[in-house]
Amino acid sequence: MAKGKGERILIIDDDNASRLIARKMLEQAGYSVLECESAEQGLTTALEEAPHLIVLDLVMPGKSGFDFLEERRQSPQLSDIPVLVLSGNDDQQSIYRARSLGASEYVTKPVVALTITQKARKLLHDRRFAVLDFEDEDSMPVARFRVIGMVRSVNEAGFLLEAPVKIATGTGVAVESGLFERIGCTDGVFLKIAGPAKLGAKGQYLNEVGMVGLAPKAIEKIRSVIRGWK
Amino acid sequence: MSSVASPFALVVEDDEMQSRLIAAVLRKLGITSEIVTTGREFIQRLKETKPSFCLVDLNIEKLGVGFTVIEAVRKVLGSGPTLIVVSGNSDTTAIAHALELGANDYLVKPIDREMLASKVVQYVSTPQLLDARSSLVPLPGDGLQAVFELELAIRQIDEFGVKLKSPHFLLKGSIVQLSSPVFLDIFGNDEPVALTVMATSAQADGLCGIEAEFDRNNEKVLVAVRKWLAKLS
Repeated sequence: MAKGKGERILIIDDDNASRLIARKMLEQAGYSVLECESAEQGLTTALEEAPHLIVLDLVMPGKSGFDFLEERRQSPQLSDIPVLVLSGNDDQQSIYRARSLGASEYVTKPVVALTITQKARKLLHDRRFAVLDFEDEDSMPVARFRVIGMVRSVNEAGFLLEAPVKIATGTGVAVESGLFERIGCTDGVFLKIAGPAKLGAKGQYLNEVGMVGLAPKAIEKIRSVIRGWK
Repeated sequence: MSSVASPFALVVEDDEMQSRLIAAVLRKLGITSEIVTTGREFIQRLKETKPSFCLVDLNIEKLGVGFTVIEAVRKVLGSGPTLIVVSGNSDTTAIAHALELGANDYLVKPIDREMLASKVVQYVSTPQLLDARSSLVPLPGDGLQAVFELELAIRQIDEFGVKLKSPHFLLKGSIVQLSSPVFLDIFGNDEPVALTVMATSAQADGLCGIEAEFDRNNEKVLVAVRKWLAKLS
């Protein structure tokens, strides 16, 4: 499945102006942005919103950006989210410490628009893409989907069901429809897809549904109802 | 000079009177037939003659025997042979059991020529069959709505959507409301989830591979999936 724009980025910075600048740059590049003023708030939001990338300031009142990185590293829910540090600290010690705590990139303020969007794009491109595979046939979860179709025509052997799905031949289906009352078949009838569906003029599949095991009386009843329509 | 062979039906029926009747109806539909009287003989001739379809008479008194024949055919020859059950029993349990064992269709006696033609025409074609089958009659008005559910399997989940494996083919661009126990785990409720079919492909095993995406504008759904995937990784 293709990765697309609209990926979510969480900015954690206590400085309003810095947040605003970063937000504008990232939104212009097509990303969806969340903002937090503190590391504490940032941790809660990151857990709640599971962003694709975190842009983090280091010096903040209360918990620092380093504290955030430390806690992120220990959280299984957050440890895979890449972090781009955006800081006024340009000393080697801060850079080394942030890197060793798991920051993916370190950019010193003031930043130019191109740098932050380029770094964000690269980190999002390189990030670990979470996928859950069910390789073993038996472990694949079952899913059901509801389809709304239209019965267009009928005879005593079955009916033509127009739907956006081509149902596999031989599939047993339970269909809810006013058709059965209309043709006097109210005791329940076994339905089975009789043959390969054809694509109809309206761009929908025409599925041949066979009515199975109808008693002679039921067949006669259907025939007499249909005769009335002709 | 070559001639087109007429379709051939193999019939298992132990009542002589009934077998003559069935052979006569088939003849009128342009189908030649051979009658056998035991299950063993039926399977043997099935292997040798490869008929266009088979009529399996489920005698009410010997229902168990008939069911055993269906079961044995499926076990020995798989899903290939077309088995149409003919029985005087219209009880739903018997019909359900026959279908469950692998019968392709089930006709209730006495055999209705038109009905037999309408069923058999799915498997073979003769001018007499085409003539005898009933045609589909359009419903008055625009037709009637029909709602049904289908089952498929989830092969992969990522933060954007799911990959599905299905015997059914879905149209690209259609929106499906999917329910699954795995969604209960992800979203905490059993509400169906809307997905858009982005791509479909035929697979080597004859099934259909479907790629469907979650609603990109529904951040609540996307966040729940990301959080669930992160928890698992």
